[in-house]
Amino acid sequence: MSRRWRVGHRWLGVLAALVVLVSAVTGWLMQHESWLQGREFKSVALDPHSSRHLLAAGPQGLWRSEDAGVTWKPVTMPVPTEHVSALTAGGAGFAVALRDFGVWTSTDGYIWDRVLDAPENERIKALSFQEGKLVYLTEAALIVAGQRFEQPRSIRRLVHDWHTGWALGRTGTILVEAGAIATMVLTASGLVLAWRTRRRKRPTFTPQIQPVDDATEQFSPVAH
Amino acid sequence: MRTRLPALLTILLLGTMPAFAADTYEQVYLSEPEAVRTIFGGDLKVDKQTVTPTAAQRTMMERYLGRRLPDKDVTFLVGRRGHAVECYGLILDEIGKHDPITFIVGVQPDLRVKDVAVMVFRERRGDGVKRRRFLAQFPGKRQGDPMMLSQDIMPISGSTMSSVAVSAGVKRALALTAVLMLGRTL
Repeated sequence: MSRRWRVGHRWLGVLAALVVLVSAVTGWLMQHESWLQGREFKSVALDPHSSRHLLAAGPQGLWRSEDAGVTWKPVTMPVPTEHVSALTAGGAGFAVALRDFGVWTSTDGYIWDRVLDAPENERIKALSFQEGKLVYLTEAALIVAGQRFEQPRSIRRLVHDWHTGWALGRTGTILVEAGAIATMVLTASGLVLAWRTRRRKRPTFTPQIQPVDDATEQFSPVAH
Repeated sequence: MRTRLPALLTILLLGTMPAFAADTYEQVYLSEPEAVRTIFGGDLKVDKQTVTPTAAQRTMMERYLGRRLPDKDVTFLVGRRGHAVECYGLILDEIGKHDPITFIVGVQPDLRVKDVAVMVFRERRGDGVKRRRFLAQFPGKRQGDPMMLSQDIMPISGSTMSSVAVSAGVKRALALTAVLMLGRTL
């Protein structure tokens, strides 16, 4: 292999490693959206019985406002309120879907009841009340009054699910996370190893060039 | 390989046996007298006292906890030395994933948790909460602490729902003691 090919191969490898590293880091961070966002609301629900009482949800939790949105404070629930995937309000009160702790309902927004466990391999994307009963839209199905209507899964959805690990449920996301961390470590250690090997190959001996006069002096026969 | 096959099949069969076992599954770690001794020690006189919260007290506690209180009446164990109360105790049930976990919580009159011990566990998974590694996080916790997973309580891996249940139960015990025994507001 010529030198040009070797150098090209090496730099292509470095470029690929950087792409993989960025992909691993961002993929890992995507599993922890709540780390990246502050109090960013993604959905809001108005109390059907009081126009000044609002609940709002985002990746970092669930908040309440009792003064029509001027001030907000966290909602107390018996489970951590991080990773709210859906929030709704209707005649029956509020309903909130938490990624890891299922669906909870409340008539007043203060006292909550767990009505559904977190589905095994699906996330609830949206909730709605239908005549006092909850309607769920998951990534795979629409569930109305306990009846499940499968939704067509696009190839894009399939690719996304395999990329994030959700194709295998929560276990899959943990596997993807572990794989991403391993890839980060391997890429970083690979780059360090490549740099060290390259450094070691460089000649460390540097010839010392002395002025001609000195050399002449050094090797000239000494007169006694 | 041929010699290992029967052994592998036996392991597989034994491994699936629990799936065919009876639906009821109950691990009793402590009986009530043992649990009372664990929390109160042997030298306190322990009485039972049942209290029914008023509607206002119930609403206050439910709003504070963010959930419904399951029982109409609450039975406290009151540990006295002479006339002075040294410790309150509550035996509580909290739903884990599907079934209730029974445990005892000891609360000091200054509204700090004295100790927690799991008495009965009824699910096949998640019994990691019985370990001291998890329960040792509660002694010293005060009424008003969040007692929330990943905030001030670290869950046990594979026992997340049980960890939530025990944490919520300890918070409930502190709220009940504060309101019903000490007349505090939350």
